[in-house]
Amino acid sequence: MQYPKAKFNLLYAGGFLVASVVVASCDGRETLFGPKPTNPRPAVTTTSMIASTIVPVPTTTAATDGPYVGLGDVPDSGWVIITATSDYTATWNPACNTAPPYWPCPAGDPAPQLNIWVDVGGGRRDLIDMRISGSGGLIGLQYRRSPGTLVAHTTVSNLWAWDPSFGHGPYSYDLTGGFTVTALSVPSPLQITAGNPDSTGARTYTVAPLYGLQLDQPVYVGWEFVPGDSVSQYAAGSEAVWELWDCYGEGRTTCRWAPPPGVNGRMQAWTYANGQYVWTRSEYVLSSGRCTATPGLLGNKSARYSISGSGCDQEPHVKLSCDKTSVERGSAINCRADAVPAGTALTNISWTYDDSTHNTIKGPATPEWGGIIVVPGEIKVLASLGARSDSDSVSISVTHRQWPAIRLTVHEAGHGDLPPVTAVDSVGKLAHTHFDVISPSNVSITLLESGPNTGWAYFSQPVTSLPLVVHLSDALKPGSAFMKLQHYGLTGNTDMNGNPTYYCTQSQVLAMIPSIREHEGSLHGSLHSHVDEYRDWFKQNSAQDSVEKMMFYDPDPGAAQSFLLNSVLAQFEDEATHEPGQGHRAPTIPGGTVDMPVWPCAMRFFP
Amino acid sequence: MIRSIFLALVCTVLPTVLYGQADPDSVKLRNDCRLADQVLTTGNPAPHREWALGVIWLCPRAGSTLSNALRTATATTDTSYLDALTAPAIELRDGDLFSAAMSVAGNPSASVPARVFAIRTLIYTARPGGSVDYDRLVADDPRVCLGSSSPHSSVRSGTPLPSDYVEQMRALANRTFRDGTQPKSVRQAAECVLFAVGRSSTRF
Repeated sequence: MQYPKAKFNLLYAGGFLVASVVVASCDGRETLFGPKPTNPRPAVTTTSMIASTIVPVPTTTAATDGPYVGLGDVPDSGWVIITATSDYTATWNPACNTAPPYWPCPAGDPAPQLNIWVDVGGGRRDLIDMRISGSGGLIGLQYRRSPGTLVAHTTVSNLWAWDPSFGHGPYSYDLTGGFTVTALSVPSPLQITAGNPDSTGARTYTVAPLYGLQLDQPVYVGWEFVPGDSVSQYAAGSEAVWELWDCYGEGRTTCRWAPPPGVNGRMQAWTYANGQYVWTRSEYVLSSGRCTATPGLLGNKSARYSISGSGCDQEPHVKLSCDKTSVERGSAINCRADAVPAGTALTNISWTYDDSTHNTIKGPATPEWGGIIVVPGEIKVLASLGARSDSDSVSISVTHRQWPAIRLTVHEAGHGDLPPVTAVDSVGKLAHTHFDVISPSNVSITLLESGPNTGWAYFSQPVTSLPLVVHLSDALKPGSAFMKLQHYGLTGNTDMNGNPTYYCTQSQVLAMIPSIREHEGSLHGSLHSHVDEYRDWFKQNSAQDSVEKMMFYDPDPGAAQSFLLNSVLAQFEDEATHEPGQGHRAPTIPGGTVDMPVWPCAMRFFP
Repeated sequence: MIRSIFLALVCTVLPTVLYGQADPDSVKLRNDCRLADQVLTTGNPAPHREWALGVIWLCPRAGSTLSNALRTATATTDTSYLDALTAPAIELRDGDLFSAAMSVAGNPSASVPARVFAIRTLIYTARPGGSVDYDRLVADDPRVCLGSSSPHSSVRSGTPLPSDYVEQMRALANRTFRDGTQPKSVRQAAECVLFAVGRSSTRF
């Protein structure tokens, strides 16, 4: 069965965990989540396996798409959890060792990506957001309100050698293996456990994610009590609930509570995991008859119920708060560590920033840390509170800056770096076009020397233009050794009609110069030129967005800045130069789009 | 009609003429290359040097000639000559030339220009097609020391490169760049090799 290609990059999404909520203020609970969704009733009450299989990667890096694999049917109401681990082998293609060395096979990570969705028919597909799990694999979660078929598909990065004559050379790797994918249908992604009752009958309830899920940072859990003697364990969304606001707060995954005398029910907790709204209910909670008076709120569908003083206070812990958890690249954040409840001193403070490329950047031993952020990651603080230590963390996401399109400028600059006149052995050596040297003063590259992204270099201002230069060989000048080589005569070849072909006279070669300029693009005409193709590539590839996210990290001070300018940008220019469309339009060059001039005769070349 | 004839001509002629390479079996080329090899490796006859530097681009065994010439030019400070001598490396990936460039680049008794041009030869081996100017290699920071290739760039192969040539280059460049006793220009050029090959083999 063939499925349409999915373009959603789940690995990418997984690497850039986005905090679900923003701490707006101390009293931000009214606006943190907006209107709370109604809890739908899941039909699934037991855990069952939907599929456990391997989704193979493409067999080589010549292809981007692996096969589409149907994993099975999902029920119409309930949770689906997908876990996946990558186990693939990339073997260097032996052809890369023996192929003509026009350009080496690129080594690199084929970066397999797994895409999973539920096909519900009618062309609708519900993508499942796969994120990096705590164990290093991938995990996805989705609540289903309609049935469908679970489908998986892999993609890899194309890795080819570039061949100036044929566009593509050999591919870099043979690939085997794939992603081991397990799909489960489960009644709830969370679980509430209850501690032992104290002398007042209060218990500490703890909510935790199941199946390797992680709660979204910063963690906020809504705690509620659903009174009644026949409360379903599976949230129905229509019962009256008591909202236990005193248990609400950043990082509060526990709630200490005792129901009033004579009132039974279930604890209910809701939060966010894998970017999804999730909820669950506890086992039945029976009234101890030893708590404070019933506040008389039974019958209110959604009432606040204070439990202050009833035992919701918890052990002191570290609370990390940042003024922003999502920043535009190049903007600053400021984070602060506090003890909760206040009054306990934090000592032995240590900060780290785990960026999304696995670098850990260390911070100061002060209660605050911040600075410019260019790469997403997780900021963590570890501190001692008396004899015990605690930690807290917040995920920081980075949004792209909206940059204007890069303009390409073109100028001619004489012979330049073309081979000597006496080494012109083919028409390609009479002229060429390439990126000119970029003056470092024309680009703004900043190296961060403090803060959570210390050591990262990035483009702090848009690159508004890149220069192309066209060189015309001195061979084309009257009187050159090359021009002296040109004289009329039979080539010994025939055209496709069997007619003999002729070499050019000097005046004919001189007359070809405008068409050579047109072919390169320094002279505008009817031919699709190399410059035109560069411009097309820049339009099609949103080059400004590529430059916007170019960054390089190096712990050596100063090196990242130079590396970014010299290597990363140069590699980007290489990509634009080596794309197949820059090939000449000819039957032997697939993908070539650059028009060759039409000439009535052939030139003579050295030797 | 005329246009279609021209197109037909181009389709027929392109593979044989427009993209034609030097004929390595040509008697004239063989003789020219023999003389160019003599001029560049012995220096005689001296008046033929410029001619030889132009001819050598087309010679099938250019790598051998250029490597011998580079090894004998270690004391030279004539940047114009060294520039022309090492320029063919922009499109020639050759094991002999690579070996000579490694030797001269790491030779502390060689002249600074000779070492810098040897290092440029290493950069060309890693990134053929992208022209690098001597002045840019030895300029003060910030500087751009990698060139950009063109869609017309082509690469010729000579004798095989060592299988670990990238690691050899990286090791030499690291050693030279981090050695504070080396001349500043040589260290800067060595850093450009690191830009060309990457600081480690594990970072993509």
